[in-house]
Amino acid sequence: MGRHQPQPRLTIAPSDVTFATISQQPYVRPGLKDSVAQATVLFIPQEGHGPDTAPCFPEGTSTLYLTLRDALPPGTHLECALADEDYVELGLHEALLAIATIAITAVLLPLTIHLVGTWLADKLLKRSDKVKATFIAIDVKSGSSIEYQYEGPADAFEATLLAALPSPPHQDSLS
Amino acid sequence: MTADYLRAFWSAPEVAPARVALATSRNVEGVLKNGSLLQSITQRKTDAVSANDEALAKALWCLEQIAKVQNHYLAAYQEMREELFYDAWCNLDRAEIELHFLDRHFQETSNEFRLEFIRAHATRFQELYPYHAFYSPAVLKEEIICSICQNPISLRNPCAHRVGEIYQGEMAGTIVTKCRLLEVSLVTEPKQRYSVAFVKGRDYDYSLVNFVVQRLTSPWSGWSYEWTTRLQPHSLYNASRNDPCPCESGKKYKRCCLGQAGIRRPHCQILFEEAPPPGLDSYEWHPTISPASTSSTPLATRS
Repeated sequence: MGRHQPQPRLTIAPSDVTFATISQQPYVRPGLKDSVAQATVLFIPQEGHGPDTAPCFPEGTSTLYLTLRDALPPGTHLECALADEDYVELGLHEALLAIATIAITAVLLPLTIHLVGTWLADKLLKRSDKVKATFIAIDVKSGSSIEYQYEGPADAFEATLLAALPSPPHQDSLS
Repeated sequence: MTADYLRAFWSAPEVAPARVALATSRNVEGVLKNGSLLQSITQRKTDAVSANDEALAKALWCLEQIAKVQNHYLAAYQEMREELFYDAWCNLDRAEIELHFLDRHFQETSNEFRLEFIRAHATRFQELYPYHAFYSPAVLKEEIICSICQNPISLRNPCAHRVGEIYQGEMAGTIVTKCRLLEVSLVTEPKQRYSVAFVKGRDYDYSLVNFVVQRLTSPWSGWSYEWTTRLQPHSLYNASRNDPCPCESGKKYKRCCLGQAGIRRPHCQILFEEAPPPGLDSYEWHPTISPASTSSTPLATRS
């Protein structure tokens, strides 16, 4: 049984997802809608696992959520679109480490990719597992969103995603 | 973040004897000794937890893990020699899993416990196995609790325990108390490899695993392998022109290897770091003497 290292694959596409659109999803409890709409980092559950299956998160999402909660800068509004009482995880036996879809303000995306990359390195250590992750970068001012889908080796996750991000505006252009 | 809980207690009287024993036991008979050694480490860890000595309990947890890794690997070695190949497969997998748990808390610096040897060779043995398909259940985990405090996993009001960290001499994890099986699928790269999808009535060819393990003089004899191809004489195969080519390309024999100098077949070349035991040196392995030194590099090949 060979263990072949897959090539990293990154897909970048426009998205119509915003914090506001997620807050209107039926799985978001009424008491949570405002907080979801005001989030700057938002964990979005997966749907589509059958008519009787509630939205769920990949296995281990709670540990990633708590890691980001401890590491993101003060003022970040981290939120999960499911209430604690609705939180369920989907465990798959495949050696593909799925990471929850995260909607995020564009300005926080590089830092979050770095934090997720560090979490992955700590979690996997010397294992060379394959990772699947989706980030939706939301430009709050323009209202536009871009989806980054990564699938490939964990050790190429951070470098591949960071290399694909647009360069930050030059300091001169901000003045 | 990785830590090293063991080195702070390297010479402590509760730790040093077991540490030395784990570093020096070299034979398969040590499996049984390690069994009692493991019990004694666990007892010391229990005592440390009772005394609220969290740091010592973490150090002893590391030793306990080292003993488990060694035990699983040695048991797998013995099982492969006894041709209990699936049992050995599970023990190889378990050795890798226990080692992964340990990685975060202890970094071996000079292979004193042979952990890197085990990591490399457990993988090599598994790569020689004829297992290619595995069951993959999808499970919806509806209620999850912390393995340490038994409180429900909560994003907004989490308990103080972090998965993978050591508390009271145990590694924190999660326990699923209510779940639903959604589906079972077949995958080639499973998370745990013991869920082999055996095909009823099929004979599994373990001869390559057997070839290697019978030629090792001890569980700690190193070896490596490389897959290549080798031309074999046409006379070895009783194929007609219109038969599928014996090289398994999927083409007809006449359109593939028939016109070639031989049939190109996969070939596994195995390098043993120690000469195989007497009596097992006649089956396609031959020592080659390096002209630059007097040391020999036994080379075994198997097609």
